[in-house]
Amino acid sequence: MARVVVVGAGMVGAACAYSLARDGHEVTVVDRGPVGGGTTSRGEGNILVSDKSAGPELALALRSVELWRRIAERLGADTLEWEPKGGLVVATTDETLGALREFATQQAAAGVSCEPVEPGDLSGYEPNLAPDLPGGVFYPGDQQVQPVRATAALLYAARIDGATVRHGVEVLGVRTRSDGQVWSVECRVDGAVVEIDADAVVNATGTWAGDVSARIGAPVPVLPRRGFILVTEPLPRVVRHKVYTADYVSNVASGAAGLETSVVVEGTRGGTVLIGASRERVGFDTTISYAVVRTMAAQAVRIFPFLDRVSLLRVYTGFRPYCPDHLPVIGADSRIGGVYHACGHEGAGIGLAPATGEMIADLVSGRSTFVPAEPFSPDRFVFEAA
Amino acid sequence: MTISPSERDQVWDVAVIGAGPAGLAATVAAADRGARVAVIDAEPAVGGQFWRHPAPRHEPNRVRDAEIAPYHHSLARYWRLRDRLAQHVAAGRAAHLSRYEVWAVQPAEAGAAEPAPGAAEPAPGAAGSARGSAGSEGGAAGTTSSTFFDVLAIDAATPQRHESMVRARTLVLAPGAFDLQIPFPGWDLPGVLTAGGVQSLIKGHGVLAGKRVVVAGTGPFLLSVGAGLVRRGATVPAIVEAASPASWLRHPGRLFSATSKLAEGAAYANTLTRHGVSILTKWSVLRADGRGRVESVTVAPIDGTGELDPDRARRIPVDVLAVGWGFVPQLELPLALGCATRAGASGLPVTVVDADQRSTVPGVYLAGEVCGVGGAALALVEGEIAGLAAVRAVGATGPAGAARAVSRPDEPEIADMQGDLAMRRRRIRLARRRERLRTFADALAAVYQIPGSWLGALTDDTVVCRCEEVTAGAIREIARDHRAADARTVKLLARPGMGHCQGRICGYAAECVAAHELGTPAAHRPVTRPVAAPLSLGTLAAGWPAAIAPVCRHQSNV
Repeated sequence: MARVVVVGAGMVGAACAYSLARDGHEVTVVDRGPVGGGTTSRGEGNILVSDKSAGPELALALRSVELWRRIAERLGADTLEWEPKGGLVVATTDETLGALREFATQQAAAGVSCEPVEPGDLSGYEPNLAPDLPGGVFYPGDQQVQPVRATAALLYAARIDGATVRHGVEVLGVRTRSDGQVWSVECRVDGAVVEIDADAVVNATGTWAGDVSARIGAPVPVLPRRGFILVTEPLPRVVRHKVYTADYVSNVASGAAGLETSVVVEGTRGGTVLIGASRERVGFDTTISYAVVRTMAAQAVRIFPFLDRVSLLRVYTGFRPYCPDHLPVIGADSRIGGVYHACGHEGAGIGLAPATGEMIADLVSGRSTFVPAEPFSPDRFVFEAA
Repeated sequence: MTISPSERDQVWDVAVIGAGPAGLAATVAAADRGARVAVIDAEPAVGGQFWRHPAPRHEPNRVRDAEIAPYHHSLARYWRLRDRLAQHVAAGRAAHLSRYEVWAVQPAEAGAAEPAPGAAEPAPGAAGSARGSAGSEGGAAGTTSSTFFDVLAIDAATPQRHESMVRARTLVLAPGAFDLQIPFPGWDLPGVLTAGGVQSLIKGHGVLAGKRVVVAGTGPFLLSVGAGLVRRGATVPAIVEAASPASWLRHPGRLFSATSKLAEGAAYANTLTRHGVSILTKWSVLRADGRGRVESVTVAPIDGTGELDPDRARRIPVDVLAVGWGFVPQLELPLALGCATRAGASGLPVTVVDADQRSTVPGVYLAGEVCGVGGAALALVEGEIAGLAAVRAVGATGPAGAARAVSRPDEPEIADMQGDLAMRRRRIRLARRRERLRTFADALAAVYQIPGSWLGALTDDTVVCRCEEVTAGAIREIARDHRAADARTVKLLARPGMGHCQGRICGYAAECVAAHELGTPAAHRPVTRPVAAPLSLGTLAAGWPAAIAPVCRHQSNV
């Protein structure tokens, strides 16, 4: 069994630790901050198949949805606040409706269960939707967790399986043997440099993975993409599913650097309604853009008119870790033996975490992976650069 | 954002947020010096919490003033500032935007460091004087700020709660503080109020919260509240002070540094003695009880180990319990702008300011309780310093220039020098006074620390976060579960502070409970809240609001 250091105690790091520890590896999770202190605590906890077009990411998402179901069974749905609530994607124009239906047809061919919803049936799903929407598609597979609770629960389970979690540990680099294989991870703890012996290192540092991978000596291009989430006052259950406009689909795959917003509206157990999801490439700038917030509010009111009179309670900012080709980086780095990446999930880190963790555990344990791993390989950047 | 020449008409020299002692002093100081000032405040009348006044009516104000005067302090100063502001408003130099709730502030880059309308080109002498003055430390004094700020506010006087915007070249933030609350069994019963809330009712409306009121907590503010209550005719069975004022003896030097404050305290003590109010020191609240409403409070002495001694507890029948543990600075707006903070004397974060009340963000000045809770006298001084510094930053000429035009039209330099000298003296006096009052405030904070005894009295079934109904037991359980290794994660998992108040009420206590259970020191980090006041999504969706221009059409409701 291998000694594995997982860098990052966010959702993806926790999922890696969970799978690796179940395999019997000697796992140490290190993080400079607390559990889920980065992007994990900044999202809605989306577990989506609906927003993904047929391809490797959808394959990973479909596997993850199944794994989340199993995790919820094992650890308790309440512990994670897991809700298989389903997603309703609505179009705001006839044109987008056509594009959405076509998108859904391709998804269905790739194994996604989805049901077209006629305008007259929308209110059956969401009674408070605007009455003039031309139609949508319902995805029963979409789920939700409370991301920090889910992260804490997976780490807790990993600890029961023998993993150690250490906070306040900043990774400085790795030491390698003469054959180029990882020997130890060099860290700073309370101002002192310490080494943690390791056969393998998993870079699960999310938005900060670009920096950490460079420190390790195996750089991968992960960059921040800013997003805001608006939180309303607590309300009775007024939004039943994840409801979003079809524009979201095109935004996720977009390469544009400027602002993109398409609204995602959903209720939480606490009663608040969350409104996402803007995407901007502005570096690590945490300033709130009130112009963006206004656009998001207007889009939310467009599909849920009752929100007009609902109070905004807070706005929070997060940074999604994105790769130039919008695919996560999962797998062994061919430059340094024993270095693995599990990062760059953009806005889908919560959803894709269990399948990512499973893939890393399979690779470390030398098994074949459930979902083909090649498309996610870090080598796509290595050979690109060469 | 670049502003075009026509848009420049929309820009004020100074926007002051908050019209309490600090904001009022800043507004008047800046307007006196010729700046165009908008003062934005959520209340109907200027004065803040300290000088809380009822909404102005059309009949002469002084009648109402007289009614509530017995419960106020240094009212002459208040009237002077209020009347001066009214003059500036009448003259079109200032606007008082009353009942406006500021929900956000945002910096925006101006195209160039152009002078704002109304502020004429800085006279060479004026700029030179600012640089040469004491305390300017070669910073923003001579430097014209190149940014401007958008203040987004909701007009609470309109039923639709319209949003408006004020654009200004500099900001003076004086949002004040609110009551720090600490949970204990029964604290959520009706009739358990904050000491500040009880005081507001008396000062603002001459209304008694109850007939038989115990005042508990810590700090000299309890004496002020107790004295107000008995003067108004309430029975105050006891004032329950957790600290031991004997510890004053450890700081004798500081006693003499703020004699007027001591005189104020002595007057309260005198009133309380005359009414036979007993003051229990080193005692605190164990619990409150009642069916549907508070009927009694049980208080107990704090023993040598710092815990409440239930064996010596006393039960006191009350109809209201007023509790005050000090104040929490309102940091939403400074934090939204990126102003740096530090741990204040109470352990809670306060903003960092320099000798000119400048924050770490250029163009943003801070005054009053956000810089560290220190009371109205200190707030007045800080406000005046901030107002003067903001004016120097925008280069308004002020009455030095205006006076020059009249008295020495032929010798502007001499007039400038006279004005400079007076200003320099004033600033030196203000700096000294601030130093003295700050020392006094720090000494008070050192004596009136919140004791840890409340943590022992906090039963598991006591609700800590009232919005989300999170109990102390729920927080402790998550900490004990080892699912979280730090207080921040405990809070994320147990979710206190996620409801309407956004942790404004329970934030301090939740941190203490989590840290105590984990055995780590409580770390009261500044909490960013980008929405400083509630507003509807519809208001937001309506788009960017119109600016209130410095032509003073929008005046206060006075």
